[in-house]
Amino acid sequence: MRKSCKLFIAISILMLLGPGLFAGGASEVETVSADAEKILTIGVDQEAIGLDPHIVTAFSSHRRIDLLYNRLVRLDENLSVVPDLAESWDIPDNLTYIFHLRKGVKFHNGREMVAEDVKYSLERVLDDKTASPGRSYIALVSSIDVMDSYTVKLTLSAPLASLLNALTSNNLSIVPREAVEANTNLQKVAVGTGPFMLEEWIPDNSMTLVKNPDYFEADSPKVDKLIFRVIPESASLLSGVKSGDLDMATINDGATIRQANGISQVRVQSKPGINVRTFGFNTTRAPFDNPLVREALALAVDRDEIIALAEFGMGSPTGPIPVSAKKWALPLTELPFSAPDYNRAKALLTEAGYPDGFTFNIVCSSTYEGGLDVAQVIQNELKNIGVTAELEVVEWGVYIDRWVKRDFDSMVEIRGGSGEPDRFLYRTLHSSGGVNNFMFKDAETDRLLDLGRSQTVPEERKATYDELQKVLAEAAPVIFLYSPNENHVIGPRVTGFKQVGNGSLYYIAETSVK
Amino acid sequence: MEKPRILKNGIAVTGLVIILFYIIMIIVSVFWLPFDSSAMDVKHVLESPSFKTGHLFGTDEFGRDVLSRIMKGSSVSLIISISATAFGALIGILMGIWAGFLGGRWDNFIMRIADIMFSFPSLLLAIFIMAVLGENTYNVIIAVGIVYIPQFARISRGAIISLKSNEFVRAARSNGAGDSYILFRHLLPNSMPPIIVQISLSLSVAILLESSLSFLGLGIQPPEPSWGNMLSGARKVMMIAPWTAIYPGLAIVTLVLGFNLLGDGLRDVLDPRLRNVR
Repeated sequence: MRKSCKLFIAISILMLLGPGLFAGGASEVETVSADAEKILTIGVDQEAIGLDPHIVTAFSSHRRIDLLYNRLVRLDENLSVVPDLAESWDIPDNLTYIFHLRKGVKFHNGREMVAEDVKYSLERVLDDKTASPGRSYIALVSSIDVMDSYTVKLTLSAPLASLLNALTSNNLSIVPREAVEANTNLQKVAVGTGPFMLEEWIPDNSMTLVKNPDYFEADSPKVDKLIFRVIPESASLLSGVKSGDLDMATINDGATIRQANGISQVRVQSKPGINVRTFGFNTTRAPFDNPLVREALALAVDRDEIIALAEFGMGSPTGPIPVSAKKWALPLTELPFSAPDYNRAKALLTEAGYPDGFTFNIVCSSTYEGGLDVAQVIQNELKNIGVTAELEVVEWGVYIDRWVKRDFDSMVEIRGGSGEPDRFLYRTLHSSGGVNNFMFKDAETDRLLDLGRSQTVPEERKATYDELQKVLAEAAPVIFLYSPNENHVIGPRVTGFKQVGNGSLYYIAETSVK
Repeated sequence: MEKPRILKNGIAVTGLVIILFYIIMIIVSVFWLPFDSSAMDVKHVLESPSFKTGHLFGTDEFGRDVLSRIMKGSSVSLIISISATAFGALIGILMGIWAGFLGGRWDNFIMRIADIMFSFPSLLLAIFIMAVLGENTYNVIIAVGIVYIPQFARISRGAIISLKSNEFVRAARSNGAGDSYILFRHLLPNSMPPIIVQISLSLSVAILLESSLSFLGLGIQPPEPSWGNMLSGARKVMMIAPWTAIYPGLAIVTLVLGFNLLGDGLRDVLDPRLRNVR
């Protein structure tokens, strides 16, 4: 008995120390064979939840799709729209977009990508049965016509000022019909046109992608093999890059970046991101169906404190439009309910019928995206107005499930923002929006969102979105907290990696290893 | 008056002193903490231990005082460890003594259940139970307690079996004593020594098990501090702020050591075969 007790204690101690101890080792072999084959190993903290470009919502999935598929157009490192599968485009009037496709682009199954595939892909997204998060980006597309094998025409039922920007989304990637039909969906396979092809996927461990020899961009990708390794612990990611087991890693955690800055073997590439950390409410559940309660909570939240405590200062406070979209974002000082005011918050709670506060749950997860740290700070801040927040810390898969089912009182999330307000806010907050998980329905918000996407004069659009930002800050179905920096920790072998700013890894194709 | 034998045993006394220290700490923590254990402080994030600021064990990534959190966490850890052991011991002993006493088919039935539970690694079983029950403090107690049931069942069954054929049992029976009377008045008290040792050792493993569960995010939920979730939170900052991990780790190690020493000492004291060994 005692012996087994001691053994158990030893095992428990090992488990406590585990993630740190076992992070190293095991990839000497890879480095040795690098002469023959150029391998880039990238560490990520999150496994992909499916690979079907039209279905996925998780960031982790998008980062793989970046490299497996192409879109008609994509964003470059300045967040401008540049050609991808479409070589060029004409916009004869604001309801018609004609795309001229690249010739000779091949899917990973060897078949040439033609206009029919564009039509099929976009129609699959528009099909309700697909339940695509990308549906709302192009819901205004009324017809997709194949003019010839390399020309496709999109006709809109109403002007959509953000269409080109929308088409850069991975959710609108071009996929081959036969692959979808053979596999029901593409969650577990990848047949794209992208620079890399899926070779092996060991869930929760690694994903190996190999160079697509037929990739349309000459001299790209620059490495033969790309390995994604899933290492949930950011400290282990950093030590992986430091030891050379990983060539680079996407690290979001501020503490680790702070530590990485002091290590000479690695460099940190940072750029203000366009993602937004949000604290959103289920507006169909009491007491959050009452706008007064939501306003009170908005007044109790101190963005600067959250950034300082949960992000080590590596982020910028933001309103409904990510602060990095400078053209559109109003400063927080011009938005109502966006600076802490506990007395006013308490008064609002009293008015709403909760003079003694109330208790509710915050769904969060211990991954970075799951925002456990942010939730803890919010929980602490809400004590100031007598509101008790209980944390429901769930495993990541459960978190996604709760998100999809909209089963929460409130949830800390990170949302993929956009430099284009229509793209970010329409799907997030329009009553018909694909990711309006707050189930927020507000006539004024819908009106402004509809107006904004139909306007083509920049000044008029700007005025609409200015008003919208104020309306949203006041209705507060979700509190937009801050935009975290996008950070990559890069080892000495890697050259040529550029950050897009929205987290995309397109530039991996142009990255080489020594 | 002669000193109780346990106080002559150096190992047991050391263990007792450590446990007593933590019990005093818990009592103090109920009435007084150096700082509010959940108060965040932007201006004092990750401060190293210092007398000047009053943060003797430094502060964590939210600017919370590590010492206060360890003190607060000590009661959580100890209460869970004691209740879980009590829960597991109660059910396990009842199962074990009935199995041992009744023998035959009942024995087989009860002990096979215990064997099935034994076949799972304890941490895995605890994780499984937590996943089914959901994450809160009471469920940690239940999960850790269930892990203990088969251990206690086996030990008490063995003790009962070795005792029940003794002459004093037959004597009691010939005097007309019933099953329950014999079981609870004669057999159980005589089978206590190994059980007491097991309880003491279980207390220490419970601390570890609770810490492991909290570390994995399945045990005590933040912001309520427990030593395990303090370690879990410290993981990402421990390279730049080692004190966030060292002190909760030390707390776990010393308390576990305390219970283990006490257990070893008790075994020496209670085991008649070792009584005269020097």
